[in-house]
Amino acid sequence: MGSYRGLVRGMIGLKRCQTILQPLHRRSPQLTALSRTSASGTLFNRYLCSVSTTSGGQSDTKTLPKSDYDKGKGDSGSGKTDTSEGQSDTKTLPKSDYDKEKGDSRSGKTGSSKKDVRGGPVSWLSLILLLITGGGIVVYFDREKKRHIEELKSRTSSVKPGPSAGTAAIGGPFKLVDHNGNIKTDKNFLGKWTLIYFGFTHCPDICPDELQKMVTAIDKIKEKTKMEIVPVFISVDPERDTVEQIHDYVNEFHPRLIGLTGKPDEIRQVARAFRVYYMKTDEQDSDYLVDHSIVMYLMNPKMEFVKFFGKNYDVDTLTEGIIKEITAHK
Amino acid sequence: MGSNQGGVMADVLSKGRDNCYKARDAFYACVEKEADKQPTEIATAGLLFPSQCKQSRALYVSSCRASWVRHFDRQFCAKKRVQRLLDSDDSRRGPMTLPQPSTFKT
Repeated sequence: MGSYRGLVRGMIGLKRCQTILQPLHRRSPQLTALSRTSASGTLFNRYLCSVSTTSGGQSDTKTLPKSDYDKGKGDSGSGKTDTSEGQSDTKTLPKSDYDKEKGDSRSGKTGSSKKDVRGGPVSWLSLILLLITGGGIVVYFDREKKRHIEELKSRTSSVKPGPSAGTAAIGGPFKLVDHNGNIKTDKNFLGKWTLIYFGFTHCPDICPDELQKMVTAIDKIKEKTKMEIVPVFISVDPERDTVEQIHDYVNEFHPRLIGLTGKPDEIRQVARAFRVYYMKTDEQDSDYLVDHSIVMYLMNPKMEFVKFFGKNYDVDTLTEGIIKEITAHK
Repeated sequence: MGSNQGGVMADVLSKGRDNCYKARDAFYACVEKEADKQPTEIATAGLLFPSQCKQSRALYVSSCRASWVRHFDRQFCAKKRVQRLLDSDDSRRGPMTLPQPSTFKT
């Protein structure tokens, strides 16, 4: 009786499996041959197709239509339900076999197998979703990376606004002698924008270039904005730069360029106020060069420090920078 | 202390500067031109130059202050050194690639 039932089950299962698995399993002719025998029939049933998702022998035939129904439902859900069905079949059939034959050693599993296993974990839909997710993640992070790099690039090149908590402590009171011999203090420069450059007259190439740049920028700014900026040249070599020396030197560049010099300790005080480094180098007899920081300081009409410009600015960028600061501080 | 010369040192004013620059450029052009000749003469700051440029060197030294001559020589040597570093040494250099800026290689 049991074997007959098994045979019936096998035949029915076989028919169903054939319809499902025919396109997929190339070995199916052999399998169908195999399944003809009852012993391997059960094998075939066990591993290749399922007739029920629940346990119970009687319910086998009843569950058949149900599994067909499942198949129908599964089809709408996933693309290739055939494999999934096949797989679920392999999953569920052994369980039902066990249930029938043994006790409930795998009760937990059968409990879970009671639920409707639509398909296996892998299907065409899941593959598509995986590709979409993976591609989406890659594209998203790629964009994030590009944006981050752009940000870094722009951050190094753009000028950040200064901290809101005050300004740099650059500048301060000083008392020096100008190129005409008059004593000038920082108070004399109030009321107008000032551009201060520290250098010395015996400079081989840098100071002349910087001063030339400075006065050209000043003229350009005068053209563009009608603002007058006072260019100032402070010598860091007071021992050699006398008033006459400075006078002749600055007159060559611009009539409005003011040259300042003084006693060594006065110069030292100014240099400290403006954080300017200067040091005598290459000293041989009385001929030496002075190593110094190459900076132009822009001071506002209240003689407060606003911005500095280094050697990397050329005439046009210097002009732009100054105009920007002037308009910003209006 | 006060200036020892008393007057204005004219060689740092623009005319003096221009003369110096001209002589300097002439001298360095000569050195570049005769780069294949054996440098036998000694300039300052470690610079050597071939004897063909002795005349321009004399003019250069006379037009410029000594400290300026040393300064320009030093500058020239540094420039030469950097150039040498950039031109040669390809054999010892490995692949120098920066990290890929984007996931998709364009």
